[in-house]
Amino acid sequence: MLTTAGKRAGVALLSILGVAVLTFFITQLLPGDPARIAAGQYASDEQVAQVRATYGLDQSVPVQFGQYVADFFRLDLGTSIRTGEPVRDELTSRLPATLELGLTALLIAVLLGVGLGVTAAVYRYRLGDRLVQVFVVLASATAVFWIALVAITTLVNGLGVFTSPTGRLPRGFTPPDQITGFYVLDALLAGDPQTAGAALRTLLLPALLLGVLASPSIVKIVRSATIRALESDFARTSRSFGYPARSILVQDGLRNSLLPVITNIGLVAGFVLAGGDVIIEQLFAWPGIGGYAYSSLQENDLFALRGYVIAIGVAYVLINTTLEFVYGWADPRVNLAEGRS
Amino acid sequence: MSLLSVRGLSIQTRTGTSLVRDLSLDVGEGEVVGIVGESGSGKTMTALSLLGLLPDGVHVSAGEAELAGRRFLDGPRLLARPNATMIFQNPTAALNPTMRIGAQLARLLRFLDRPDGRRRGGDVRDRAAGLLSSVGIDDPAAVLGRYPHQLSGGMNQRVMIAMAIAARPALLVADEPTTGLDVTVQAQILGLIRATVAEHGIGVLFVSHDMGVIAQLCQRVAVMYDGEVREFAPVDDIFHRPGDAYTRELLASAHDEPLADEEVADGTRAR
Amino acid sequence: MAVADAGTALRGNVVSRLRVGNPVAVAAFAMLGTILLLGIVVPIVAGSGDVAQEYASLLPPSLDHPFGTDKYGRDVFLRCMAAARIDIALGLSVAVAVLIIGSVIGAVSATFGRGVDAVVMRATDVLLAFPGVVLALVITASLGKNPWYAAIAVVIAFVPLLVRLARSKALEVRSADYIAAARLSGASTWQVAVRHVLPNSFKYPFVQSTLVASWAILDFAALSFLGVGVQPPDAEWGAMIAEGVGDNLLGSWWPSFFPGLMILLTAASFQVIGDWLDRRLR
Repeated sequence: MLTTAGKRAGVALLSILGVAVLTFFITQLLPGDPARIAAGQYASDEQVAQVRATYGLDQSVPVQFGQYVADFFRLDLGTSIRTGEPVRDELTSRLPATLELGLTALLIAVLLGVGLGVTAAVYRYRLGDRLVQVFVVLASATAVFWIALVAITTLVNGLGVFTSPTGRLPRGFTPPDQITGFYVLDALLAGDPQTAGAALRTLLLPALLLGVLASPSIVKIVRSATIRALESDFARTSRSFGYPARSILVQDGLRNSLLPVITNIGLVAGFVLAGGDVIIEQLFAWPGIGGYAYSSLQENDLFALRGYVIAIGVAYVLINTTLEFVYGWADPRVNLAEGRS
Repeated sequence: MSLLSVRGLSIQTRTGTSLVRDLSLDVGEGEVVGIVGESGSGKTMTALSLLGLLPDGVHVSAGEAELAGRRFLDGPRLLARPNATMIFQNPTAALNPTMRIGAQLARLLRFLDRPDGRRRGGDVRDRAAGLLSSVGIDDPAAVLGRYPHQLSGGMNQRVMIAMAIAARPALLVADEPTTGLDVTVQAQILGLIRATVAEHGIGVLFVSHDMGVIAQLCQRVAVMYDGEVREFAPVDDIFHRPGDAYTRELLASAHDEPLADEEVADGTRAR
Repeated sequence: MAVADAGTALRGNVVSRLRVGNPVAVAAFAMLGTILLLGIVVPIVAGSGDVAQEYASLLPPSLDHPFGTDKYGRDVFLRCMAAARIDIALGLSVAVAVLIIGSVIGAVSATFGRGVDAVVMRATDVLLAFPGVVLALVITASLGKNPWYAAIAVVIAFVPLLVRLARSKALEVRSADYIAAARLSGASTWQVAVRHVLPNSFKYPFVQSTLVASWAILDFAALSFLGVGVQPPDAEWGAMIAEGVGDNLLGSWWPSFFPGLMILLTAASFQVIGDWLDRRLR
């Protein structure tokens, strides 16, 4: 157990290091002169040179790289050129907003994906299955920025179902004291259901959009795995004993189809925490790390962008490593404890 | 009066392809009846149809079946679940890979308790262990904590038999239960089935392609070819006085199989 | 065993009969063909009308302007069709590039094995540690805001996926008898990789590349929407939506609605064709 866990942890550490190194080399190619941007449009050459020296941008690439790796191990992601604040602190303060949105979206994606996938499997090759397939194609062909605009036009401005896309709370509400960093939870903990409700209504639309668009891959996997399980020999055994359909669906079908979902969550998390998140945060003025990345991108803020990419890469590696353990725990056939695989 | 009686059973696919035609046979109490035939002869479909387990796209098109005097199959309709259980080829796949043996037995025992809503004496786990001992498993406690993939095929088949007995069926349907097991394990499983019949007095419908196994276990045999019963007769008649050309062919080809040698020797020479 | 076989065979039978001339796949081909044809013909007929500002601004959809006009007085339908050319061509070229690069690297990696394979696998590990769009975003931002760089970034984002797929299929092929025969007859490892392993494992990456076309169109549009792909005033669906955001919030939905619809129809067509190929070729 320990050696396997150690090996996994080692691989994870190596991947994180790989992420950091790759990020450095990609961002090193950034066009424009970060020092000039930082110093401002009307700065003199001396001022620019001074900024360059401040950020160590006058050093050779190998020296910069050495400094970068050393800083990385001290969890120092540098200073944002745009705001002058440490990138790590800025990311940390914005992380809860992104996590609240991303995890809610992930939950929606999994619930919807499993629900629709199982429905399609139960009604396989029939109308219910066809309808789910139509949903899968449409949802995986929809651009998140477009559907977000359509939703804002119709649901917010038209029908008024959701509140305006103005961040994590509607105007007039004060954020609850930070405990978990999740507004809905914090407001509930502070005994303020009104704020919690407002936060939830604000959260729901962007989370729904991300969750629905992230769900197709889960639907596909759950559908095929559930069909396989329901047509398996062991489901036939259950039917031979006359177990109720619900018991067969849950214990034979669902239990065995959830396993591939675990491995797929990594990919889905990539979309709800990063890919789709950058766009949604921008459109909904959500104060998370996605919006931070967007602003940094617009202003060629080398260190901020680099910090964001590293954070996402590290999060991704951690999620996937955790999922490997969860998978080993959930599927007895891949039992880490007994060294089988 | 026979325990199981099947009359005029026909099985078709959705597209009208006939898999089994006008099959009739019966099984007496405490009797083991074999169905033998090559793959594709319809023997497995026959077995599955009796428990309503036909795969999607295959259905009973005609015929009727009674178990202990109660009609349970009438044409395409399964009127009621017959008091029968089934064991399968590839026992490891027939058990749920994500549940421990103990959990699978508990699931069955709780389900069986359900109608009267009471526990039948003792803890589910103790009863499960008792069941495993009754099928000759030496260390039931250890096996209960295992997953199917951690056990041998023979051990899993014992577990399947234990589950099949636990439901107290009048009839046990066995579909190639020893195929793929090695010879000594095969002999043990056959011994276990024989002992089960003796102890509980149930009827067994035993499906196999293996003439040797059939010869060891069955009192009467139905020989199937291309969806039809070519011959249904006592085992001695089948092996010593085959009345059908196909039966003789089958016996001749079975000559290659080591287990069948003794029994088949006379039959083939008689040709 | 027999049951399983019979069951699968039957299902296969039923389903394949359903699929002969699958109407959904036919519709997808027709849709894609129509969009592509309009994308080629409309701009030619209309001249350079896609960037011309010759109408009143923000006219709602009508017979004259089926998709309305945008805030600069440009015909949205015309611009959507001009964009179709770019987006579909982008989707197809990215798919082809990803297919070629991915399956060659995958086949070579699988055939050579050992060191080469280890390096390729670690490299894809690291690349796959970034969600595709983020990788593309950073690469584009690093290279410069330009549609060509955006296209390259999308290719780089999808190559690791195809490498993995091609490699796993190539590993299955590698142990086949005819590969051993080719090796025995003195073919070099390169020749084995390119002449034998690659052609025989090509099917699965090919099917996958149809889906890549669909995803590439979505990601490329996203990059343009974020301002690092196609730059205004050039017509591209994602860029058009970005330009229409402000109008949309003020009540004029059409300048951003129709480009998104085009993305949906095109990407969905590629998805359906991909699923269809997947079932046909398996």
